[in-house]
Amino acid sequence: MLDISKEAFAAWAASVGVKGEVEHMERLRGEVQGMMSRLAHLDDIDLSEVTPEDAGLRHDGGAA
Amino acid sequence: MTSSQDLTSLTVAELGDRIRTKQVSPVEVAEAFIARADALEPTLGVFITRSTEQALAAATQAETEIAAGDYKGPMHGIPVGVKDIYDTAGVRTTSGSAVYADYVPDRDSAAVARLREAGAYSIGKTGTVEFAFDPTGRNAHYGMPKNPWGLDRMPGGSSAGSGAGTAAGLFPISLGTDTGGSIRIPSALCGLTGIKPTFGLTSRFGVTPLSWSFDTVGPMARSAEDAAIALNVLAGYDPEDPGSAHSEKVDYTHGLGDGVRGLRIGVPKEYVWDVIDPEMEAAFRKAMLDLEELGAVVEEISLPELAWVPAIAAAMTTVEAATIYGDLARTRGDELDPSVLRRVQSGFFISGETYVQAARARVLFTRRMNAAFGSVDLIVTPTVAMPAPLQDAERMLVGGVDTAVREALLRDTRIFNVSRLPAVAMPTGFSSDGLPLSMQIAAPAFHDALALRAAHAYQQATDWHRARASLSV
Repeated sequence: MLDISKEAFAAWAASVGVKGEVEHMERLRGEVQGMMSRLAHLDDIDLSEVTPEDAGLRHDGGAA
Repeated sequence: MTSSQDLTSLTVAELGDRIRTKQVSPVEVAEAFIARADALEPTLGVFITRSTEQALAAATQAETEIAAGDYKGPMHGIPVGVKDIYDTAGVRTTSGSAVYADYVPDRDSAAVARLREAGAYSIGKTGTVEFAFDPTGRNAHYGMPKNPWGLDRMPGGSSAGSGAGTAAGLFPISLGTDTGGSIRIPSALCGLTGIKPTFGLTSRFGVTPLSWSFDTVGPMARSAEDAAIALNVLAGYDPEDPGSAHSEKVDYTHGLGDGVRGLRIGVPKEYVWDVIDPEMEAAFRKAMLDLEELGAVVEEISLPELAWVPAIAAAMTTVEAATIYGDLARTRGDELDPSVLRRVQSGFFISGETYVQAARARVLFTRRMNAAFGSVDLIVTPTVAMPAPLQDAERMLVGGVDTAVREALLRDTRIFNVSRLPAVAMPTGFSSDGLPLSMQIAAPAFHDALALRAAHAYQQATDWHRARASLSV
């Protein structure tokens, strides 16, 4: 599992506006570590045949 | 004359037949289920809010309509357990949250409105994980319903009360929602038949959201036939749900009896078997033999892309939940279930780039799944990796693999959320501890009727779905 130090996690959490009691933050750190380990598998997928537009994330051509 | 206890053990099809032929009145049906709930609710904790008076009033109205010759169909006079994330006019909808403990909608969700039009009614709002964001059934505010098959076991979630209550006979059918497996997981753990329909087939209007990419509305029942009866009412385009699809009108009960002879059934050879309880796998293998005896052709298929599912589902669901509940987490986080708060907050740590990567991977995965349906008619897997865990279990050994309970519950159901395909969970037997085992049958998009037909064929040849938990009333 991806290892995120307490210090690094505290800084990361502060940057996204998350704060809480020590126990809560420690459990959150564990969950985020687990989640990031899972998400790392996305980097193994060759997505060359799917554009963001294919995924429904369309460019609106600048129109309002 | 059918006794009160007999009525509560019947399926919707059986009850509907007795109501239609006036062997039993809707009020008798309502009174039987209310009496059973009175007796068992203190033990099971199925409901967040009961609607006894409204249920009796609706049953009386159904009785009057039927006596006047206005019979609306097999759901007429049927009580339904409604997951407490469906808006119900005049009855509070908590979404399993203390924040919304006093929220009373002034309008029904589309699904509840459709059930009312069909003559059915809510008998109460059933327990759910807060914002439907966990597969165990835990809820720090309202408690975790107990599994009728083992009171020390979790019922599965997030549609926990709908699962436990249908299995215990507190109502014959219920509404659940399924974002990562929340219909099929409690169906599996409680011995029920539940369908996650094709994404877009059923309206989500008036249902508390978790993930706009995956949220799906569907029934939890005691048979595939009952699920088909309910889907006939629930399916259909709704302009008030942006994800609703213009699908062809289908009678899901038509052709239910056509069997599986000649159908090609694909069983993935990867991923599913990495984490699997031996008894769950044995029951699944036996079910494949049963389907072969019925004339289906069962074959292994290769789908290495199944390994992508946890990453895609986690990235998209977590970011979308954080988008919906982020403000609440920031301003009233201390009022949320701490585990749900952590899950919402986890979404703050996922980058936009990762979300888009997951959305693209979802499309690619769906293409691969659709391609697999070029060689088979149905894809079948176990619904969950193991039977119902103990209520407080966080990790457990599953087939010798130390795994988080939450991930083990979600790993197989999510396959069909990510691909947005219909999947029916149904019982395949019991573990040596007497806990239900389950498989799920999936079909191509908008071929929900085919999945139900195969499930019905299996249930005509087996009687696992007829087993009822032994509870003292």
